[in-house]
Amino acid sequence: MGLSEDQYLQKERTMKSRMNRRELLRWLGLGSGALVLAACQPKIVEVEKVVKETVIVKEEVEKVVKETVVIEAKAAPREAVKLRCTHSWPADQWPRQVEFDDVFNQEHPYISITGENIPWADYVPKLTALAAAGTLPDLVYCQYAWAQQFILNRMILSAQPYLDNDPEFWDIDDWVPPGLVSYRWQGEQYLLPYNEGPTNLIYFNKRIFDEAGVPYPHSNKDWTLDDLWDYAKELTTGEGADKIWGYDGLPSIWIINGDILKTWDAEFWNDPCETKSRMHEENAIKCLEWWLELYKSGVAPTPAEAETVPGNPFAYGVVAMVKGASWDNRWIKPNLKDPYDVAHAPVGPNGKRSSTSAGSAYGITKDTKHPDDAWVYLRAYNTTEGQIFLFSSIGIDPARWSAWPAYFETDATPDSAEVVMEVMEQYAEHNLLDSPHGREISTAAQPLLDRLWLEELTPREVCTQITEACAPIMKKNEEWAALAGHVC
Amino acid sequence: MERTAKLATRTRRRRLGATARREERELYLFIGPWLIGLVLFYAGPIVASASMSLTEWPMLSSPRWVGFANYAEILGSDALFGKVLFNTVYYVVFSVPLGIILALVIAILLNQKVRWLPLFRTIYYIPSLVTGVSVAVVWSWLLNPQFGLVNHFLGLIGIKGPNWLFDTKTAMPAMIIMSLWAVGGSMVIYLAGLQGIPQHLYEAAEIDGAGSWARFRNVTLPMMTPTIFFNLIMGIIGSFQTFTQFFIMTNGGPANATLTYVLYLYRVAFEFFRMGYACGLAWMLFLVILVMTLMQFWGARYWVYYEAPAARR
Amino acid sequence: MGDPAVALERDYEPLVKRTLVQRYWRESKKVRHAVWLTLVYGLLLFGSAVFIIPLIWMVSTSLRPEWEVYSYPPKVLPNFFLWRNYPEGMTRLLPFPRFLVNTMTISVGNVLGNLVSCSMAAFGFARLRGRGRDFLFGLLLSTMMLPPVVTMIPQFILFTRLLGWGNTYKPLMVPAWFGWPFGIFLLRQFLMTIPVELDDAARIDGASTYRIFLRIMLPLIKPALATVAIFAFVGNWNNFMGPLIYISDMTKYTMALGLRLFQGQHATYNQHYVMAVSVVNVAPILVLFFFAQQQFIQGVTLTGIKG
Repeated sequence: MGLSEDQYLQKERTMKSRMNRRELLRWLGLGSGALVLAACQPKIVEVEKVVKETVIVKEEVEKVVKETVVIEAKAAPREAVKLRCTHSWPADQWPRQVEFDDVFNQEHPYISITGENIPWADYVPKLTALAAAGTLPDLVYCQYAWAQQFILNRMILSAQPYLDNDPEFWDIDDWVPPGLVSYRWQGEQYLLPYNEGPTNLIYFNKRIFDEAGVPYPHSNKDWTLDDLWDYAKELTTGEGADKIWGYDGLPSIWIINGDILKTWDAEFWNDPCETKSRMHEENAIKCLEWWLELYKSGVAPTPAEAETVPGNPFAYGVVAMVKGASWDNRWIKPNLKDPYDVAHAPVGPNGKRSSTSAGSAYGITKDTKHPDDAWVYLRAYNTTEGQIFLFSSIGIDPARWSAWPAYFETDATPDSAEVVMEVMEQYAEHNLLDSPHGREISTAAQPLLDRLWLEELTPREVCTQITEACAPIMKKNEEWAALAGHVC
Repeated sequence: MERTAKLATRTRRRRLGATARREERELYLFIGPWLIGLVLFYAGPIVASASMSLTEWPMLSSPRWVGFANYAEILGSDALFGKVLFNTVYYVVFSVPLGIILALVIAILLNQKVRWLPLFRTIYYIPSLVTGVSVAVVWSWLLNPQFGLVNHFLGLIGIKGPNWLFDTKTAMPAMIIMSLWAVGGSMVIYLAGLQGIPQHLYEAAEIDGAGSWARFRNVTLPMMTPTIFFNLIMGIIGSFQTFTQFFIMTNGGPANATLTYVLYLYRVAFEFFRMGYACGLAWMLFLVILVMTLMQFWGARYWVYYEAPAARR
Repeated sequence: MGDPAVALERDYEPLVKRTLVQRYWRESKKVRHAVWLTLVYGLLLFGSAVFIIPLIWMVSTSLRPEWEVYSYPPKVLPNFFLWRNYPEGMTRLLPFPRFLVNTMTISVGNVLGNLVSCSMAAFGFARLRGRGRDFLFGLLLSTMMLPPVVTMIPQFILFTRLLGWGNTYKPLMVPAWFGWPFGIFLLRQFLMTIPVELDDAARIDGASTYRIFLRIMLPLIKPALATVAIFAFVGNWNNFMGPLIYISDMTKYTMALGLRLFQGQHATYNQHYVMAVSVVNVAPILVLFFFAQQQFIQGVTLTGIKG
């Protein structure tokens, strides 16, 4: 059943990325060489202008001056700059970040960046303490949910001036559109996303499907929600320790708009303004009723059954299909022993599919003393090569289309990894609660949704109560939505 | 010799004056370090948090004065304030007394003449050392409705075990049971207290013909009251501020059934970025704890026995 | 056994008439004692089984390969013995031996500071009289009643901006030398169980307050001092909030903080390494506690006052 030690070591080796340091060095060198040249250009032009105005033996003087200038450009010492950047990577991803920083430091002798890895749950407390004391690092990691708060509180410097001068880097077509949304304010891009991935994927356990003789999702046709129900019922077998569930992944508030309600022609918050709730409308109620029926039919594990250990029953091989995001592969892959794959989510009642997409970004803070050098790092981080090295080659979906091919080549992604890209290309939308009061909205609504599965409230009651609870909070977003220029 | 004699006569003559002043000087010398530390390291932040409660402070930028608006919102329009306070009081009312009793019982058991005592004591102390993920995992199992040990034992005596952490009515009782696990800490304090009971009192009691229960009731318990009082006060102060185990285990769920006060406070501060409001909540909690503690101190003179009560001037 | 009542009876037995009932009572005392012992052992063993489960689970999980960590239904007892998880977990991803040294430094420093400052303050509150003493004691307790979350940031600003102690261990170690309310309160309670006659006797012999403090009070509350030492040590050992906020150099991180780095945004990865490091994290305290017990529990205090 399990892997032998040799297979385990083999698995480890192949999971290492394809892109190594040498390649990255090459690309970074070219990129930074171009930057240095670009920075040097103005000097030579100025000196030439001055020389051309004097009337002496022109050519000789030009030659001497040009040589001097070239020597000056080479020998001009800059003061060494130390940069700090806070990250929040899980421990097994941290060595990769350190490698990138080492290469960057080699390529840029006058810039020395030190990364600091902070545990996820403590990131915001630490960052707010640093912000309050005015000792923020030069660059910070930022999740979509915090971005607007950071920007509105003037904690992040706008990257737009640098981007305007760098059309080669800021080729807008190369960036996955939903990735940029949360990090913009009034037409300016403040933070640069490094990843953006869909949340509405179905991971399915091939062994369970084969044993039950059920066709894989989306394999022979555009499978629908009814197909999901039928498959789940067929796949749910056994009792007690042998129990297999057909489906896991009930709706939760943060993705309910894009993943669940959209194909029922309903929505909870009016994206992107987040100022009104439409949860009380009939379509939303019908949608929740459908999901409650699915849950009550026994194909999904109850929260108690699912909560055996931190993790997910899908990883123990007792669930046939699970609704997950692209990053869920990171814990599925090392834990699930059975063959598995990823598929598109089912088509909804309106004949279409939908998915939310989410990601995180990095930005330069207001406390930096060297914004230009911080920009050099931020730029290097988000070039195609940077994103390949740091993210797509280890199975994290990047925010640049040009970095995606590496995502398919690595073993860290499921076999049908191109499904993920198709979702991003065809129907993924950002559709998340990223307004300043977004967390308050989801914190108010989630307990009410919990009570649906506990069967303490009917779907109608849940929907109307969510609207009642969230409407006053959403009203607070009106000012922000107007300033941001969102139209709903 | 001469000096002490002089001292003795001096103090006898001017007992109220110089001695008292000297003692007061010594008092301040001894508590000096703590007092200096208080002024240096705590006074400023405490005053700051009080003044922050009168502002809206996202921490990422400067505070904005709002006067008592935060307090008005807490008492008036905060839908969760009542619930959170209720949850916390519910938790305190059950976990503190149960914890005290259980820790005392275990400490007495571990003070008997049984073999392998150090091993047992270490084992009982383990859960209060183990933090984080391990606690969450093990308790998820123990309380699992299907195969958890707790429901297994309840089934043996014919009770159908409830859904514990997944039912709004039993989630808090589950957390209370979980808190009893960490009695190792209080147990250590009781053990230290039991060491302090003079043997001659037990001997005297036996000579008077007292059986073990009578010895316990008339010697052990009264002599332990200072320690019990300590654990009571610390228990009240600590469990009103309980945060970590709720954050890890349930994060306030299901449906806010286990949302405790400080967990809510933490959310307001670091998820909604409203530190001013959080400071207001903190000071309200301070008042509640202060009142409860004062009540305990007032009641203490009826049941706490000190050999040497801190005499009043 | 050393039961004086029984000994007394035995000595006077020939002089006392023993009825059948009285003889039965004596016999049943032995039976009762045996029953009592079984009860005690039984309860202790049952409780131990429950209380030791987390440690067993931690050790079992630390010996499993990554894909075996989560199994359904879960297994408590070890079924794999991958000992190399320990050296791997401690060194491969993060420098835990370094973190261990850091944690040790902070904890030991804090224990020393706490013992000194808490015993002094507790003696003052318990034994000395002066104006404002009770008010200050109330203030002491009040400082514990405010959730530290709200003073965290102002304190951070105080330590880093005003005092310039950012990225050092100073904010984590210096305050210990200025008192710890928990320790002060505990020692005060214990000091108040020592009879005043001792103080008076010492004063009559001409001892100064300092001598009374050092030579008489402190030795008498050794168990309490050991308790404060244990709590201070454990509290600082597991404390991650302090190092998190004040340290920005990763080489200065502590074990508790390093462990938290394994908990990612969406899941906890490498659970087998996490458990291996957790076992290494808990082991020193357990060993210390096991051996420290001889020091403070066996030392039964006698008040030394002849009746």
